[in-house]
Amino acid sequence: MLDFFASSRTEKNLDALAADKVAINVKDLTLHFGEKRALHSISMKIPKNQVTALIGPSGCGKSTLISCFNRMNDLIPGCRVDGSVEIGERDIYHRKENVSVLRSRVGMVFQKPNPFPTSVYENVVYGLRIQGISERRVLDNKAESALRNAALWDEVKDRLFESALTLSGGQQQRLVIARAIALEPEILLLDEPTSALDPISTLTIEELINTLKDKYTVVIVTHNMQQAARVSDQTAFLYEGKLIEYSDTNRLFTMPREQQTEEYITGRYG
Amino acid sequence: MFRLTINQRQSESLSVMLFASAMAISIIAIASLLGVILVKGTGHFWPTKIQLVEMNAGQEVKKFYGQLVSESSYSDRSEITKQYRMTDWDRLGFSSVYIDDASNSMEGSYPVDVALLTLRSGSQVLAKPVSLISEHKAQPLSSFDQLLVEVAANRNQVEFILNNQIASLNSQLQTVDIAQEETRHQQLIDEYDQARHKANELKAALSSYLLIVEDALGTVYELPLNDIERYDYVNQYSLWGKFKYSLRSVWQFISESPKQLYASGGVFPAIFGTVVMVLVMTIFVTPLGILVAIYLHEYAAQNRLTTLVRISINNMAGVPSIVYGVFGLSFFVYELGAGIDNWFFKETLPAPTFGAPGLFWASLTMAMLTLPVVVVATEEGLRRVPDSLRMGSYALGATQFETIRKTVIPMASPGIMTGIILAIARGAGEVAPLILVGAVKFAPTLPIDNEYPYIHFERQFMHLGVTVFDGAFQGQLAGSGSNMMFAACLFLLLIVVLLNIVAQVVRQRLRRQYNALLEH
Repeated sequence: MLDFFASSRTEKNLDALAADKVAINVKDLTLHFGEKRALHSISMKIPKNQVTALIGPSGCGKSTLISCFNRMNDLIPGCRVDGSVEIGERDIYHRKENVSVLRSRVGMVFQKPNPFPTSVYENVVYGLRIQGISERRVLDNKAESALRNAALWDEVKDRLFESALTLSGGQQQRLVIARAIALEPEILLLDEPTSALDPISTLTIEELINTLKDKYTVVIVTHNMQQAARVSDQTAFLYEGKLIEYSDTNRLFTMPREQQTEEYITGRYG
Repeated sequence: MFRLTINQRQSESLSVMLFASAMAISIIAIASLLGVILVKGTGHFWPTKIQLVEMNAGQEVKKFYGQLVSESSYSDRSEITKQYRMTDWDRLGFSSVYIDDASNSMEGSYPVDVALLTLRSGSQVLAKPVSLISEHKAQPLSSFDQLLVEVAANRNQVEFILNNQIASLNSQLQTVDIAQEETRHQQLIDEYDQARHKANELKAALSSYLLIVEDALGTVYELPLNDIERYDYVNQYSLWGKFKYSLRSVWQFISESPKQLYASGGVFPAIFGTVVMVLVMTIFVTPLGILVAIYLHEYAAQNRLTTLVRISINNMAGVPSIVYGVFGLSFFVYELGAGIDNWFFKETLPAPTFGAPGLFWASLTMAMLTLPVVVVATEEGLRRVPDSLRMGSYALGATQFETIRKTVIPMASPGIMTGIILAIARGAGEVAPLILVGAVKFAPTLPIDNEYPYIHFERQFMHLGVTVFDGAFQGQLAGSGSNMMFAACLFLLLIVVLLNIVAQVVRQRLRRQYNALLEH
């Protein structure tokens, strides 16, 4: 009963969230790949310092949506975006937006761990070096704190200068997270970060996500509904490029408003 | 009818035999190529035993010391033709003797006291040393080494006086004002005379060192010791001695200039010319090829135009090299070169500076020829960089240029290295275009020396491949020259094989690097 009230309160807040509590404000976002429409006028507010999960069946557009938040979809030929995505009250699709700066403020982690074939250390400081930081002491400090925040420090502190490829898959994925948070971004986008990992590594990453929301806003795409239920504060359900339902996670999984949502979470399709 | 008589299994084994025999023929072809080059090439360095050959020429018996060069027989005749290298006293060098009917000659003995005397001019003499004379006194043969050292020391002293002392006195004399500094002028003239006198004295002393030798007929000759570089009692050599002789020959081959029209000496200028040409070529082709490949693979939209460009570049690799040579000659040399001469070297016209074949145009032509190799290999390297790494780099706020510079190029560098090495191997081995645009059989000067501006792009140069090519024609005239050609050929083959091995190792390392990346 208490749970119900708590969730209804959050739900109410999602629509009329105070401006300073919003990390990403998506307004009427429509995206085309060539002639094909991939996202249909999506509007949603993603709150600060919380974990927001995007779920839905394969091809529903959840990965496309998350890659709109740091404009990685710019790299796909034939991609066209209408509407706006505001981060810090600035439209990131404004033509004067500096995409490189944006991407350093909105970090992203991909499905498969993709460490550079250099040392662990060089991986973590890659973005810092791009920023023009070359002072060894600063790099060392930032690398250590990033690795600590990614819960990887204890495992790699003795092999910082070994090849990152010698780490296990789960460690590599945490290294990639460390690499992203070394830049101290505002937002961290995780695109199915555990789909290539074993259950134990998955658990470690999920615990990590819980601690990350103290500092960052986390958006996670997952095909695993249990995972969404475990880690997220609110969940958005997408289907065929449309945002079907977006609400508090407990609410969405226990009392979905839409029939499509219910069918999906009860496993009738997807 | 025939088809009916063989069943399926038989035809299967027949086809296997067909493939296997094709394979066998290829292996035989490669093995014989390597074998011939190896045997003939190393033959140039390995000492041949000296024979005392006697042959019946009409009534009289001719005798000479010779080294057997080749032996051939014809199936339709019982005769064996033998070719010997022998000393020709008139020219004091080697000439060849063919003996058509081996039955006319008597297989002579191998006299142990006959030496192969190598002269400083590059020619060689086969004779029996009898005694030595120094300062008009006879010396035992055992003092040969010691006297050679003495003579060499004297010769160096003479050369020092001539090249340094007299040259510096000369330049001082030119600057002295005779009217004002009469005493100093006189003093310099005295010093000059003294130096001249000293040099002449030493020279006279040098010519008093003599080696008395005897040829096969017993005729006695004198050879100035100053002319002799070294002596080898080839017939006395053990296997180790022969090996040492070979090593010395190899060193001579790679460190000396050719002597006696490539009959002896070495190919140092050709090696040097090849290296300089290839280096300049690499400086041209590497940045250009890498930039082209990066643009094609990383920046350009992948459409029909880029496909067309890619196909064209691949086909450029198949254009006959002589076409590049003709292009280089007609465009670089006659158009660009003549233009440069008109603009910058007007004072020396009509003598061309850059309007003639030379190092610069040869390197540029070879750079064009090897450009496809570098582009293709670099693109292959770029293709092997996984897109996920580019994505990872972009996601960390890197621009495309930063991504290429910090992630793509380092990861593609083994591929780039492979391309450069293959281009170098190609450039080192090419002959046809080089003959047209600047490589010559004999160049009086090296392309790099201590004369300003130190590297002379307009000079013609010598090249190993061209040396082999020339040697092949000369080989028909003198048996000795052909061995030198094989030696140069062997050397060329070694360089190219070595470079290819390096390229292969680099490529393997690249594969391993990526395999590790794709495992997870």
